[in-house]
Amino acid sequence: MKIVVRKRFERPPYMKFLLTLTALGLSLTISMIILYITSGIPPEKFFYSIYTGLFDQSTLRYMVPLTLCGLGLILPYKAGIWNIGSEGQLLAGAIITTYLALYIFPRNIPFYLGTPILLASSFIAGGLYAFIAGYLKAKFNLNEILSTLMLNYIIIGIGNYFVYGPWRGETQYGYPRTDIIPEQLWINAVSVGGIRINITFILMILVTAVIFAKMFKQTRFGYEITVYGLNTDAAIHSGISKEKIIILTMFISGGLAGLAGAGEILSIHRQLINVQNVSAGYGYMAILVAWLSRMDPLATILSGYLVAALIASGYTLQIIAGLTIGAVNLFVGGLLIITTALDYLLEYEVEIRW
Amino acid sequence: MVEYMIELISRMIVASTPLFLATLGELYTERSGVINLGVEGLFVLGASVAFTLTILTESLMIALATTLVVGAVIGSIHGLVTTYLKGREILSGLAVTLFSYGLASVIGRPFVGLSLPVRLNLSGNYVTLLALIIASAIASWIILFKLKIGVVIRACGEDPSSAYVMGVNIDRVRLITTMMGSSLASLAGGIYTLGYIQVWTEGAGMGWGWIAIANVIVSLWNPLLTPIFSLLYGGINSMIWMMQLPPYNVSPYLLGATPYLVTLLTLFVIVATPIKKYVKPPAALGIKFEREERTI
Repeated sequence: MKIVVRKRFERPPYMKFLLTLTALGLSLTISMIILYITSGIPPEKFFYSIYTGLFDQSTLRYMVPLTLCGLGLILPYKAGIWNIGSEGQLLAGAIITTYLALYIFPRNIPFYLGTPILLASSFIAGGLYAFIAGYLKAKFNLNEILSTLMLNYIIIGIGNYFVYGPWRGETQYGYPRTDIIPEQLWINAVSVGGIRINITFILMILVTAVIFAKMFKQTRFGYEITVYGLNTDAAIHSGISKEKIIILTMFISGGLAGLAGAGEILSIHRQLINVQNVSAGYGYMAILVAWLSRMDPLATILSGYLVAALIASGYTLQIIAGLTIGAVNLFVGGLLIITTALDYLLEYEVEIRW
Repeated sequence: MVEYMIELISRMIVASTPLFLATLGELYTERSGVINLGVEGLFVLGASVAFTLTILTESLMIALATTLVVGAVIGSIHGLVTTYLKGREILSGLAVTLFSYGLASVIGRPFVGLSLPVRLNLSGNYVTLLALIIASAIASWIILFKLKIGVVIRACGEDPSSAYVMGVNIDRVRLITTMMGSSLASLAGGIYTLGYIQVWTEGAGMGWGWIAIANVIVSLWNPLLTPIFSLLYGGINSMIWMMQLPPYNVSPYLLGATPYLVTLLTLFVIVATPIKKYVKPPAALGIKFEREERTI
């Protein structure tokens, strides 16, 4: 037997899509086996939870932060810049939202004034938090993977300091959480045909996806990002500003993560709780969302839904089989490894000769 | 007062041991040209596996030996994907980390809150421990810079094409160093739970692997310098333990963020001061070695 490997010159149609489906199937099978061995979860329970996850209403709820962060990550990733800090940038947005709503705004601020300010400030806060890493990368060539990771942990410490310390709510019976933000600022999900959807944020996702798709196809900035990612040296020699690409892509992706943070506060928690339960790993899972879409902004909506379904199944497993939610990382990590490995077949063709 | 200082120093050395081991492993991996972000997950997985097995078998040796094997097996996934399959290193590493987080949580879940039947007494032997740390740093320097095997490893990281012409199997060397680095990270996690914190809760050891990766840069890819930041970090960790208690009573959450802030500032000092002249990552770090058409 002989295995011959050749570089591909053209790809069969739908190959990316088929590979993603294969990766999904493989990773779910592996997770099923691991869960069966370690926790004795029978396969039918496992597949039942995956099935419910795909059609559960909560999937639409997890989809919002995942897709917002994932859309944002497309920009730096296309430019070859590794922003791993969505988690922290999301928290920057969540923390600033709570701070403004509770301590700066008058209690009776009208929603048409308060909500836009909150959304805009959360975008800026997330963006500025990402800017720190972007600036350090552009100016000092400090590894952005490490700086964004460190910044994630730093803001978790700061956020929890506020929640467990000076911001602990007066009406919360001593529990570590802030007071509830004024009701008129909430962004509630509405019921559409029996399904609860947060229209505001779903619209925001759709509009951003369309703008990004247009930006990559039709604008100079989108083109510059693509060129910079494909060949950084050539891009710099052709006059594309390294600083501009790094700082802007980081700022925008941080901004969208910050917006997701505002969304978590305004539409889900209505107060700041232990911040690790606010970000809940969405920032890390968004990396998978961005890569599953193969950097296509419109496909991010699909991949965001898919990863959200995995989280929803994780919660179902938690209820029916007593797992902790950390087990979701098994699906997410497995899917990401297998997708990365199968990318090989996009570049090479493998033939087995007998 | 003297006893107090001794306790602080012994805690510092014990805390620095896991970081030192994980750093050393990642240093070998990066010297051969592979970045392994999976180190973070493997540390957490090693912590969970060691704790679970110590309770099940009551044997520290079995537990720690298993962490080595588990690390090599899971690390080989990253090794295979990044070498033979030419996958993206950052993604594959993050994926291994997330996967290991999940695995650690599933494995350790039934054992949360139990106490260890046997203790790994490190703090009593802190002088020996420090000597071992320094000895392994020197040994690693000799291996990497004086022995032929070190030349082979470094050649894969600096100039793989030339090394290939000289008959080195680049992908195999990189796979082996990745597995070795992963093993050490996992062992480090085991030592962290058994010798330092001595309990296991979900998420135990998270963040240490990232610090180890940062430490490789801070140590300028030189094994001789790895104990410095490891000890500094160990010192910060034992200070944190002290500062939470009266009379200081500093918020544990702010203290929890300090190690990361210190690491970020240290990285900043390394790249923004004249020290940056000495920051010379392996030239082929993160770059795939490819030949056009291949027959296996």
